[in-house]
Amino acid sequence: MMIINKIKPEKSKSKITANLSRFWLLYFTILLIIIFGILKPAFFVPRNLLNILSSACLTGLAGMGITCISAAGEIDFSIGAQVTFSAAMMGVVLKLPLFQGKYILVLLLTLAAMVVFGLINSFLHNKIGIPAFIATMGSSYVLQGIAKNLLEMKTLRADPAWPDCFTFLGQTYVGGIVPISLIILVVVGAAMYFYTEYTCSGRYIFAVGVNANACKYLGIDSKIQKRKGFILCAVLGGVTGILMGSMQNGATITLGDDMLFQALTALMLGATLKKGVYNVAGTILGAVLITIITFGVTMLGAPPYVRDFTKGGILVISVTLVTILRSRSVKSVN
Amino acid sequence: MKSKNSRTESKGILDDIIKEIPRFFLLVALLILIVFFTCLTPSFIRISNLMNILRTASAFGMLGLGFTMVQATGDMNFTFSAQAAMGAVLTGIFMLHMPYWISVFLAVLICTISGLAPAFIVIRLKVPAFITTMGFMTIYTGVLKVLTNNTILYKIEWGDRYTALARGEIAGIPYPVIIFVIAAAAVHLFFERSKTGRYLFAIGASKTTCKQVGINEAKIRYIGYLLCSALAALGGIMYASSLGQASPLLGNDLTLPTIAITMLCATFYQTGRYNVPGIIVASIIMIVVQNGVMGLGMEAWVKDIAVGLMLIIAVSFIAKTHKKGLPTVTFGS
Repeated sequence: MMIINKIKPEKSKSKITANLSRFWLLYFTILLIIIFGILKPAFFVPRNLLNILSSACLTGLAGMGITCISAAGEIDFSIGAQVTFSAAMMGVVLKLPLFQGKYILVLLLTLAAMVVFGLINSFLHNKIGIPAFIATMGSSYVLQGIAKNLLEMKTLRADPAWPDCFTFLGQTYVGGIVPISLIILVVVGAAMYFYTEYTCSGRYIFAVGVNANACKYLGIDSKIQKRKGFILCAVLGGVTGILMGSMQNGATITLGDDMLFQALTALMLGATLKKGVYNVAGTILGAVLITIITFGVTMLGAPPYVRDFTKGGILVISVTLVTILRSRSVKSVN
Repeated sequence: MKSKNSRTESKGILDDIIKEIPRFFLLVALLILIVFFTCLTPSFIRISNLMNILRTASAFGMLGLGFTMVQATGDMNFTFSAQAAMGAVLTGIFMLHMPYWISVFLAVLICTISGLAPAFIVIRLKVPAFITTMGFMTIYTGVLKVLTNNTILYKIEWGDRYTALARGEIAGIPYPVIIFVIAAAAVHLFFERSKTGRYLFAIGASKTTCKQVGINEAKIRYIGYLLCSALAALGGIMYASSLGQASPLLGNDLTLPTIAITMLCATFYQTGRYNVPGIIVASIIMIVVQNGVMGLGMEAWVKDIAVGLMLIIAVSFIAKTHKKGLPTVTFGS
């Protein structure tokens, strides 16, 4: 891949087309914003755009988690259950008399629980040898069951026992405009971008996904890399869940049901940005694009089933593009 | 000498029995579970309850048979759950205008054709099946929401005709069970005795080899996808008929149990390979667990945990006994 990047196109024309095809996702997003803005001027209001970004944070964070595990060549089916569980755990544990008011402690406990869950997934995959998607599918139902048990099959809403800071992450605006969730996305995104692009530890995860055998000869233990992927995915899923619970000021048993689908779509859209290679920056951009489409379609007053079409359509188109891009890049290497 | 011989012989038989236990462990587990639930709630063993279990199990078994068709070729196919809902909803809509059997036929036909689209993208464009079929699941659910105006179809509109399939019985045996037994026998023969059926598994074992031997790999895979769609539609119709309602979101409840059934089936009879006797036992065990847990008055979350654990245990068993794994479920590295 590195060699391809270094070869510069000779003609300026091909440079432009190469540029276009490389950053089509970015241009497409901008184009879409303009189209929605013309159709519905209210779309352009800064408050609306910031709202879009703040809800894109959820998909973006979960998508980054999926990026980490997909980079290692596996998939984590349980991201939805992780979101539901962590929101439920925050809500329920904060109600207990022992933990009342200890927001930071509970937050850390929830993240610790997610680390343990990631370790369980990695144990099932690495030690027992179950393929990742089946192992996480099974563990996701177990986790979903535990979340349902915590919530007693009911919906939690703004409990008086919760401290005021419960809604801090999701509903506060810095300077009255910039939502905190956006800052979280930027900070976590930057950290993850740095980790996956510029540190050895992050690059190893991607190396395992490309060729596990070569990694073995180089002395990289693919199991350790996959474990890192599972844990990162679980922790980011937990962060997403905490943020989502804070935004909605409550938790429901179906909170994260949609998350796997959206995260996968963001991942696939993002991969089109880099010749079919999963990457953090692309995933975040993909998440923004999905949210813009969802918001725009809703603002235009389309019936709810249109969302199903757009969601499914984008996923199928983006994954097809990724496949075509990958087969091309492999050909050019040969 | 004689006694020594007999001892070694008996040891051999014992060894054989011990060797055979893993193969039939699922059946043993089923019997233990039935005894367990009967001890806790005696009404469990009533004929009406058992027939109820068999009725639901045959709908899930039908879905399992369909899911196996694609699974055997090494592809994951999530579209089947939307197609099951599609079968149920389309039957409900057609029934308002035409006789029952014709509407069932038309619904199954349309579902079968709907299997072509994901199959084309997966087979022709070589896009990963896992994600493509997931996308199509959502698209088809959207179509169903358009058709039903995002509502659930109830039996008020049809009278008793819609539930007649599930409620009807011959000599005490419900229709769905009879249909499932016939379908299972047909699929068993298809898997074991027909060329196409064997090729499905051959493709799952190695696509490259199949190509070099001269098998038309794409054609066989298309057949797998189409059969899966048809069987899924039938399963969906049977399931919705026993519920007495058809919802566009019907498939959501069916996905995980069906996948778990398919994984469990590979632990029975012909271990490490999807097989029809395994599907029969696995679908019954799945419904026995769900029914028994609900009968004990436990809450719905116990069911989730039980099904999730069953899936994990089944696949761990295969992973520990078969190094190569199953077609879709490859182990190692």
